[in-house]
Amino acid sequence: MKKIKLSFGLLFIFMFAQFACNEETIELLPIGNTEGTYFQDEKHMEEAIMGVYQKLAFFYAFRGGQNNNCAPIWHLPGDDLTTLANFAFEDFVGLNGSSGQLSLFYNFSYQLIARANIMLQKIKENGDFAYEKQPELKDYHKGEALFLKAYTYFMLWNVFGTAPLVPERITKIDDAYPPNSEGTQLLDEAINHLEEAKSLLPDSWSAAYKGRVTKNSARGLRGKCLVFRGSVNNTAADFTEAITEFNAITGVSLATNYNQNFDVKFENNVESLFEYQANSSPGNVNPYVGGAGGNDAFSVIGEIGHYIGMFTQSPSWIGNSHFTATPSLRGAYEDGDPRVSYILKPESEGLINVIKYAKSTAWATNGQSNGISTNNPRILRYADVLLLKAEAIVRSGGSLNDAIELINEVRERARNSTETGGPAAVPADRNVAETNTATVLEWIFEERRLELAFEEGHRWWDLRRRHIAGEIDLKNWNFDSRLITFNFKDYNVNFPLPDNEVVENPNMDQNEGY
Amino acid sequence: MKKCKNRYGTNPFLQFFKKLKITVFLLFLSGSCLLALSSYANANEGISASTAQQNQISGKVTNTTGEPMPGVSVIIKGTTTGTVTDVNGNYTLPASSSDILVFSFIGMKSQEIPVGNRSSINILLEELTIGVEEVVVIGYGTREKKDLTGAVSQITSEDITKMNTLSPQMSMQGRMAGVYVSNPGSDPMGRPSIRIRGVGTLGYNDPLYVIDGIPVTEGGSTSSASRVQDLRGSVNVLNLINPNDIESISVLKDASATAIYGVRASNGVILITTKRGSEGKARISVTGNYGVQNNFKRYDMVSIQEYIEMSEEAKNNNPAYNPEWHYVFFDPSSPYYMGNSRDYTNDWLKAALNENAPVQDYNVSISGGNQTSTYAAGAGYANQQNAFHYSEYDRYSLFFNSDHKLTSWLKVGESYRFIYTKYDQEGGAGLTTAMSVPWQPIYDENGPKGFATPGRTINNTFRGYGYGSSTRNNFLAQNEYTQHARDLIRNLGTVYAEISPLEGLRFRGTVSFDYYTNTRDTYQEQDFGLFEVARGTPYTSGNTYTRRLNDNINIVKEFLIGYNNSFGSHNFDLILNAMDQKYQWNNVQMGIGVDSPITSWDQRMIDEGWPNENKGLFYERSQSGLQGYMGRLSYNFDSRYYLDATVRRDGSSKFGPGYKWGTFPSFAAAWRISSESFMQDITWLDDLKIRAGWGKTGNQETRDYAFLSLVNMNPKAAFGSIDAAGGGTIYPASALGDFPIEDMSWETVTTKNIGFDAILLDNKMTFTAEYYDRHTDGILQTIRIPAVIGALNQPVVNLAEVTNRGFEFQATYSNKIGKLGYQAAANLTTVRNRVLTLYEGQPTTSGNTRIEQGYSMNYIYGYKTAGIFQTPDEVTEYQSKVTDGSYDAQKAPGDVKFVDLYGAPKDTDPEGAYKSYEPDGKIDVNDQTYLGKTIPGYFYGINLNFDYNNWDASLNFNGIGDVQKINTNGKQTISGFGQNFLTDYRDRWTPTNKSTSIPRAMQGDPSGNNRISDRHVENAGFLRFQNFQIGYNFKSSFVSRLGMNSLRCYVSGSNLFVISPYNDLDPEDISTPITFSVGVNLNF
Repeated sequence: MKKIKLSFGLLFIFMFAQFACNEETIELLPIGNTEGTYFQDEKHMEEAIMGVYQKLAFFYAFRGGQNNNCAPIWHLPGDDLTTLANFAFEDFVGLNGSSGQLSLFYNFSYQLIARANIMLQKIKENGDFAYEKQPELKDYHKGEALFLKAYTYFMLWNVFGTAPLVPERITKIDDAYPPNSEGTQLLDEAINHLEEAKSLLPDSWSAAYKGRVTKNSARGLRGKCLVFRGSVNNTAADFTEAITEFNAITGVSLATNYNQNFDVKFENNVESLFEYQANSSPGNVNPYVGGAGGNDAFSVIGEIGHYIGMFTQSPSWIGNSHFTATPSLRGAYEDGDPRVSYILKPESEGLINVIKYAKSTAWATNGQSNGISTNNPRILRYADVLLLKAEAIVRSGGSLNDAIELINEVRERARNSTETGGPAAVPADRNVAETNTATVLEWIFEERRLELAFEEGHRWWDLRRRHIAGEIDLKNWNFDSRLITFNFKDYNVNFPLPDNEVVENPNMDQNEGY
Repeated sequence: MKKCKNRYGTNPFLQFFKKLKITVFLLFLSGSCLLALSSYANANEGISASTAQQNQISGKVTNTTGEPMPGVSVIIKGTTTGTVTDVNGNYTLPASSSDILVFSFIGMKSQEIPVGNRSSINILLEELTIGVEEVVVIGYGTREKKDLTGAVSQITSEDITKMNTLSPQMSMQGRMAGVYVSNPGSDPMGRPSIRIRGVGTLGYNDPLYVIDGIPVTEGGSTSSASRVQDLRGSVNVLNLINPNDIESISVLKDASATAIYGVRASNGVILITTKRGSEGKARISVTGNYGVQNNFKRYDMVSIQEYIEMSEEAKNNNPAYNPEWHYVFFDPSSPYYMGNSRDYTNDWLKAALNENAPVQDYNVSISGGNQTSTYAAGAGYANQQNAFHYSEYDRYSLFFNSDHKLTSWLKVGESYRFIYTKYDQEGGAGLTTAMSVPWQPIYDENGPKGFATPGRTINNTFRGYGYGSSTRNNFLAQNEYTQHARDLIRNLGTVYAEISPLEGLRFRGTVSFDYYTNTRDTYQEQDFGLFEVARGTPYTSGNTYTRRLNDNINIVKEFLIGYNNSFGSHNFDLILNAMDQKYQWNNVQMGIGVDSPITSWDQRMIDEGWPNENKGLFYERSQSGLQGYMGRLSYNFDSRYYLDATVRRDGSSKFGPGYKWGTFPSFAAAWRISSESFMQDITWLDDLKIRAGWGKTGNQETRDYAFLSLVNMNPKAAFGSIDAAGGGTIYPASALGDFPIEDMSWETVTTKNIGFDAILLDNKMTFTAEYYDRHTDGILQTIRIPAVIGALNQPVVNLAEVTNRGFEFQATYSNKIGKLGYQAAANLTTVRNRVLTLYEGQPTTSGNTRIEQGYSMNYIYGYKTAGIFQTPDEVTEYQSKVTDGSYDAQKAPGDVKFVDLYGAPKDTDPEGAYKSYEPDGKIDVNDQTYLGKTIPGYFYGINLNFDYNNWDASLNFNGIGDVQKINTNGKQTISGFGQNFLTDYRDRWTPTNKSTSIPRAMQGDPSGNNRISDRHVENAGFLRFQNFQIGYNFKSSFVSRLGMNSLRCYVSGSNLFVISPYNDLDPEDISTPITFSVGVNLNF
């Protein structure tokens, strides 16, 4: 008996002693990849570059509320659109560093830059073995990362002016307190990155990857950055360089009909240089989840759409915070300009009148009532390039005649864009004999306003750079706002940086005036 | 089309009879189960046999009032021979002169009587009085209450079942000092929040639940991410324990008590012990309870005419306002004018409420055993409907356990618990539906299925919000097109073996498992969209169906060595324990989201052949592990001087290499000062023990793998769209979203505790008072890092510090006046919460609550006001000094005057300042300040018990105080054209009604009057009559004629009233219903 007791006891103790000492229980590794096991081959690298592109989606997402959506930042400040709701971007009065929308814009921008920087870091570190099967992808990826980073810098300059530069991935908290950028530093960096990108990117992509950026995209954006920089710094060299860049663009032309730029059936068409590739998520499209915080956890749902509900008043509960075309814009079109019918409803139909992107759209699955479209926003298109080139020619003292010809190219296409197919009488060509530089410049900006109306940032960013250059005075400008609180001040050309960011960073100052 | 829910106009009594059938069925089931078990028990009775010379012993058992006591078990000590007293309290059994008879009955003091030469032994059984003999579960063992050195509160099954709740947490409400349990409202799955001694951390504040030694782990519970919370689902997993099966709930409050649970114990530990069998004849217990729940509170709303007039007034007060499309409803000249409509508010309220919602609970259990084996088994069914439209909860539970002493040195046993709950939940509206637009109908004879659609075509444009901007979803109609069901199944069990090779020494091995699955089925038809205001049209994706399955798998293995011995007056108790816990949480979701051929809920399926692009699915796994080694040495000398020392060492998978292991020590001492000779003369003092403790515990609950940089595979990007609508291919994408902090580790809570326990006035009164100080250090704080880093997830660091300190008092007094026995118990806890340190001193604001150094956590943050402008001069004078941004343009009499307190930090302020604490002539976010606190400064409970002859009654009250809450009801600048108005708004500011605190009506609030300010902060303290129960014990003669041992019937009620200065329907949750129920408890 005693033996049984002893042996049983020993067995028992042995059994239980087994598990107690085994540390496997707490030495767990996560399910899925960690940074250390990733970025090993073309598949990983492709996924990573797609991840950089994907961040663009956040600038176009509804995010569950009109105050969580970035669109007001680039649509409302100009004189093209107005609203009845109390948006600080409309009246400039309530603009301050605690703006949720500006925080989101800032966060999304630096998240995109971080992804691009990680991509560049990993190409440098793992490029030797990660591209063994498809070596050409190495340059393409680098070019894409540089392009997307440059585009983000371009946006940051136009919104904040002085947002900081992040040359490399930040891995230490001590490196996370960069100073403000100054002057046109953001544009300078964008121009440098694009110089490199254009040498790395392919001329085109296969049909399955149509929409990824190409050499033409880099040239076009680089030229645009140069014109912007030139116009505020008054540097002639920028304009000549821009013209060279624009001239190098090949295989791109104006689409036959103006509306093809807003028609979902003509995405990535001949006129296109860079588009955000909106689409519909399989499964459920839910524009609400994920909240306003910008978390990617819910990206499977909704975020690859393009929210245009600010024009269509959807979801309908956004009430009067929809955007309305100003009478001044409406009045700027000549009667009979075919472009109007694609972007505006007749005046009699009330304040919900902008139909650009909505007229010829395809809604995301169940997206219509929430205003979620799959129509690509055309970020950079050839009409824009032609007018920028005209501007560069005028500003660099080139042939006014050449510049006017470019404007007329755009106007001709407009005339030929009637819904019935036949050419319209207006807009007629501008007089090629005009010799007054200022007049031609006004023509260019007028044409930009009409041609690019309601496309993100165009109008406000043009007004802004001209005000900075001292060419126009926005304090006396007719913004045609419906808000009686409207009050523009000089410092409003740069929007306030997020307060949190400025307060925590000893090297960074809030923009003047806020 | 869908199953009938049988919930309108149904007579609750009809339902009762329907359920009665189930009860009978359960009874039958348990009866057969019982037969099997009792034959098993009888079969074992032959093991021991008494051989000494035997005489017949007989006698009578009575209670203190002289009444005979039936059903008392009389057993010869050390054997299984015994009997039970009959209805007259008489017993007879054969026994020898050397035997000792043990008389026992639940709730009475057991007595052991040597037989000697007597042939007749009459016994008087006394009721157990409160106090010292009570055995308290303390984790890895039990201890007599008189020997406690730490802060532990306990309630037993009697208290638990008297609360008539289906969720075990609620039975603790108001009963224990230091334990605060909120009211979760009317949803049967509502999860109350439980806070033990304040709020100790910024993150996860729930205590650790240990059910029969198994630490409960719930996947996703510790994350604040919205996606994880959605996966976890809004279910109360503790509903998966039937409160009737619980023997006791014990709460460990200070570190000297909790340190044995180490890195999981910092929020306190709740030990739930379930019933097990005891020696004696089989006892059967049957309980039944049926109640109805109702909510009688309503908001007072103005009439349609007033609604229109007040809207008009708001419009006229804002010249900048351009009427929106819905103005036609308010315009008498329009064909769409609604001013003459019927007011449908009561239709909506009637639909939103579920009158006489039943709550019912039926249980049967059997327990018994002999000297070698004891067993218990039981089954239960419970059902509860929400008092609001619509959720319903059904619980089927089953348990059995047994303990076997196989030899003198080997004991084995097991317990198993199976619970199946069904939970149906559909959208509803609640009492606030009265605030929606009054002229929206709910029914329409010609509408789909007889319901009115919210969408209408107004002036040739279709509007989902067809009755104005406050049009509501027609939830009642939506319920016809959708169904949501949750099935939860839980298997919880333990097996153990224990050997004791020497007296006082034991080795015990335990393996426990807790496996529960939570399945969610969601079915929705496309016409659901017709009744959804944001849409108003059918879903284009067709009917959809999604199934989600969460697995929680928790395996715990433990090995324990225990040794206790006494040398004279020196008593030692030593425990060494090793534990290993593996935990997995798996989520699977599959769905058909587009063009499914499913036509009804009953047809739900996902076919392999359906196009893949229309289906969505994911499978995610997460796992974690914990290992712990624990030792506890308890020593006492003569029950006079006590010393306890505990140390636990825990290793957690949550933290990175080098930071996994932590050590958590604790010490406690107690001195029974009343045993000292100098105290002997104090006659009114029966017992006095002073105790003090110190200890450290941890909190590991944070995001898994926060120390690593994970690849986030959620992003995706589309390319390849050319010349085709919505074309293109979606490609997988990835991103690195983390900013990992490698040296992250657990939070540490250091608790200091000093107090005393006294028994006074001839054992009639007990009194406990203590002071506690909980200091949480290294709080896992999700910090805001500069956005330029571009991280998606903010990292977690150990930085913040919070303290909670306060006093706890608990007193009980019991006595008798003639035949009336009474007991009064009261407890009070005070909490002083302070945030000491935050990362870089950064305050964080979320809405109108803020966490800031030097303040109570989550305090209310808003503006100070100085009344309402009465004259234009006041406005001019104010505006000459203070600007208010875009709110200035229309500032006029009737608007709120905000106080300029602070400004943005200036260059002269210290580096890193968040504010300049001087007025700056500007009203902006910097002017917000402390307005109140959300953590109650004190909370209390009062419990009264009475008994008189066969009657008994108990009443429970609880309350909180020194707490504030934001209330906007009746205090806003009304915009008009939206929600209907509370009648309070009749008193708003107008040029002719200037003496008011409600600002003027004004469309869109252009003066910013609605910014949360001191006007909105109210005292949210309350006193709630939580529960009462009145019971009657039938006379034993009557009972025995029915073949029973005891029969008790009762009526009870809960949430009968609440007294509060807070100006809303309820200071906690306005859906909390009033419940009345009747019940019966039988024992055979």
